[in-house]
Amino acid sequence: MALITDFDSGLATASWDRVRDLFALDPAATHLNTGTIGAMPHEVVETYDRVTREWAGSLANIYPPSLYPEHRALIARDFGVDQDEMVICHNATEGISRIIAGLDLGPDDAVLTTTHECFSVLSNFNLAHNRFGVSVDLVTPPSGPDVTAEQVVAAFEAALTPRTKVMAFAAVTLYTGTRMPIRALCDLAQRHGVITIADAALMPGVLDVDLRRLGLDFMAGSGSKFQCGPLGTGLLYARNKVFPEHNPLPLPRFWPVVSTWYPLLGDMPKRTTTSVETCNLGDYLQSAGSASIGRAAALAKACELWNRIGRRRIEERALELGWHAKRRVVELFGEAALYSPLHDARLHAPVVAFKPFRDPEDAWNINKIMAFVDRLEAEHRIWIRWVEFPVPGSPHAHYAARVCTHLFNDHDEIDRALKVMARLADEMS
Amino acid sequence: MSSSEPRRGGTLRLYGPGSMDHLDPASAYYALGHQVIRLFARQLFTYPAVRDLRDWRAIAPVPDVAVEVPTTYNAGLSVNHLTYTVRLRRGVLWDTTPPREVTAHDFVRGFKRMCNPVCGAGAIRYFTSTIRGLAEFASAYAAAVPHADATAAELADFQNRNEISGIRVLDPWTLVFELIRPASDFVHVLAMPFASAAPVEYDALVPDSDRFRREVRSNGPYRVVDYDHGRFLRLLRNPVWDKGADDVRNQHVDAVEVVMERADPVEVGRRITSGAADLSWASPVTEPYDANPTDPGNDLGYALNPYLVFNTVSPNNGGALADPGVRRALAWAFDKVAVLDIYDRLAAGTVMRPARSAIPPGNFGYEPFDLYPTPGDRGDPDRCRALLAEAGHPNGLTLTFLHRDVDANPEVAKSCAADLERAGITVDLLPMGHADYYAHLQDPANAEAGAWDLTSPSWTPDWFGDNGRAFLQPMFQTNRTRGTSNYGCYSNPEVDELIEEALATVDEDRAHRIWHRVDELVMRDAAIVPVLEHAPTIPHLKGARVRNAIPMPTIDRWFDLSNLWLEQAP
Repeated sequence: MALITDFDSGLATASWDRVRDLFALDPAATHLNTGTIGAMPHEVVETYDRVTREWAGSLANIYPPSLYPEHRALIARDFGVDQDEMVICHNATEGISRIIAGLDLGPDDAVLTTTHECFSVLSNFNLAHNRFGVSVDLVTPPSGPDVTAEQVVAAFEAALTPRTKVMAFAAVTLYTGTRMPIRALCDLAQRHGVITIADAALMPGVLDVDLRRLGLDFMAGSGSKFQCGPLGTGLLYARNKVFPEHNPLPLPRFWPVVSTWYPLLGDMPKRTTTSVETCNLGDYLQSAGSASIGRAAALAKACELWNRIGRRRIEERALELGWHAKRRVVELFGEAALYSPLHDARLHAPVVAFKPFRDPEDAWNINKIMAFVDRLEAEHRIWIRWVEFPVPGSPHAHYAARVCTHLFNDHDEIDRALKVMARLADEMS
Repeated sequence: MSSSEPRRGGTLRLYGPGSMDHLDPASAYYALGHQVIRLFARQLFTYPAVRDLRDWRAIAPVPDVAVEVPTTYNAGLSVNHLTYTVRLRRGVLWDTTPPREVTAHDFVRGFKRMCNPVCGAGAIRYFTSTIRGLAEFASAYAAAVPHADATAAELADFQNRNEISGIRVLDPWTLVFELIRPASDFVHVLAMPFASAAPVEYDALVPDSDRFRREVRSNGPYRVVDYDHGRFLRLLRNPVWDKGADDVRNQHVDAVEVVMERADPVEVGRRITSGAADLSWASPVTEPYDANPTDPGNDLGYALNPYLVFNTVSPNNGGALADPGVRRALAWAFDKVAVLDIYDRLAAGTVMRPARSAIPPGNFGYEPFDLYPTPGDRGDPDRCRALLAEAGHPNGLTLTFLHRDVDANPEVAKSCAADLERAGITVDLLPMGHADYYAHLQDPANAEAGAWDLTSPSWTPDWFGDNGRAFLQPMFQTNRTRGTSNYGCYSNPEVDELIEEALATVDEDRAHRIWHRVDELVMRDAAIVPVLEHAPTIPHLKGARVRNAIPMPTIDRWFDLSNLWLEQAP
């Protein structure tokens, strides 16, 4: 569990109405699309503005501060790891790109991932395929209200081959909002000596996780979605120590492909085989020329604010709202409408995907779902998004409405929004 | 008016011995036909006219009736590349009374029509092996309407009662294609004229029938007002065409007229230089040149022109041509340089070389190899004779060599016949008019009846770049239905399977290796004899008043008639 620092008893017990006031949100709008973009708290905006102004015209040496040692140390602690393992980057895509490009992958290797990954994962693996000849094996994970963690793990296990060198999966899938059973998947991977990568675009700021305990090798997360930092911020975690109780595998060979500090001659210091750091890999990754000090400071402020509210408290709130949204979806649209897991709480995330229309064929109608989302925004000021993904056994691309709940939402607005969606879907059906 | 500014008016006159194979876009599969179809039938995607063949845009499809090329990033292409959502632009009109907008339903009708058993698409496999449910639709169509003389009502009845499961109309302006497997060349496939929209009026017409030719509709800048197959064609401006709804074509000239009559290249050239005609219709009459031209397209996929096809189902000679051993023997006989000399004397104005493989250079899957090497590519009739004896035909064969009766074709046929005769084979030359030639080859009944044993067509790739299937699938995958481009009815299950395997992979290197393997197999089987490979453009002679004539590699180097204009005669 993450360590909570700078505990602020005021916010730690504040009502959710008061918490909502922290955010620069339009009171007339219903923001249920945090999976695409979060809402920055006023404090975060102010920090961004203040730090940017402080550095405007400054002649100070930017290079030490642009390694963000303090910010990284604090944020790393939030995720149960250390400064040498945490990097502030520009977004989850950049993080994933640097992870994939940094691995030693060749024509004898295969990567196992899913068809439910973000473009940035699939495109970068395809790039690695074209560049290095690595095979990319895809599984389409099961989806729907009855899916279980065991089924998800079994789908991966069935697709593992002796060539599999990497398993990559979303921490929370952006299409069906499935919280992947990360620890179980890492156990599976470790049994086969396989490196694990989590695309955690939808994890930081909502799931209170300890990356070390999860057993992951790499994670790339967004700073601007559930963490509600500024656009253009992300987190990259690269395991840099060996804690056998969490992940006994040796550290994978890794190249910091975007790096100013990589040695001009020779190699980086040897990386450790124990729990004691011997090489600050985070610094090699973090040093990438000039950096946006304002944005990093604002992200750090967002993380600090989260700690004051309480990360566990935020997770519970967002998940409870997500569960509430699921129950309402079941009431209004029927359980069969859900693409998200329902009965296995281990797979719950505050992301709910469902088919709003009665006619099954409308699940394959991109125009209808696009019109639905557009009308929610234009006529009702409700922000959600539509998603498209394959479903095992179906020849069609499926299109779903996706609702994300976060700490600034409340039960009433979710109820109201879903009722509006039900009415609109009826009208459009 | 300066020649750099389009001038409106005038009648563009083409003259020569060529013919369209079909006027119906569902079945037309010959460059001259595609040159004309571009004027009156639009597809979802098409090719722009780009003067510089080294410019990649010359071979990249652009939206035609579609609003944009589907990509993952405009939500037109699903992440798994199996679903294409194509949005149609508004304001594209049929020249009906009253004018009516082209809709997604018209495209669906077009896809159904290309499966018709009367006169179907020559490269139907491009579609049936790619779009979910199209193969099943085509099979059911052939079973339900098995006779080639079906009525329009029978055809329309089947088409209107049955759907293609992988093509869905979301609304009149949105089409969804669901694929069997990812196909990186799918937009090229959709740019084939087979995939033209078809108005509801076509339900009353038998494909490519005389009545179809009289009543063919237009959604392009010109419409057909007079068509006498193999003799005459006249198109006038389509009054309801709107430049605002067509980014690719123009409507500079008032009319396009094609006079099709027997004429040798000298006569065609004389007409053009005298001002009696503006452009050649089929004759390879080139702009004068002093030095041999260089490749204008930097090895942009070459064409096979000509190649020899064996009729593998010919009953003649006791069915000898079904035996690969016999075909292999024959493959040694031909003096390819002699044929090259014939084209040289025509001053064809293009880069050409003896060909050795089914896939010529510049096309995906090409690897240089030669299973039948002879010194200087001059042929080896003695080896042919010996191998023929080994194959059980010591006294030779008697072969009917079908050829077009225009341009270099008779000379090429004579040259090839002489090669065969040197190997002890008797050859009966069978000339045929241009208007009937390809239609004759596309009907497997003629092959099965032994109407020909050997013929010399040409093949230009349907598209460039990612075009591994553009030679091998239409030419060699088993297809014995009317409209086939596998003229000799060649069939090898291993080839069929490998073609499917190549289509099934998204790994370019692997696909390349498989296409090359198919090339090796069809050459080992001597399904054809590649004779010459030609660079994809030729400097066709233009009349003095023709401006902005841009050759298009996708229509076998002929000009884009929809963008040229005519200067006033001095």
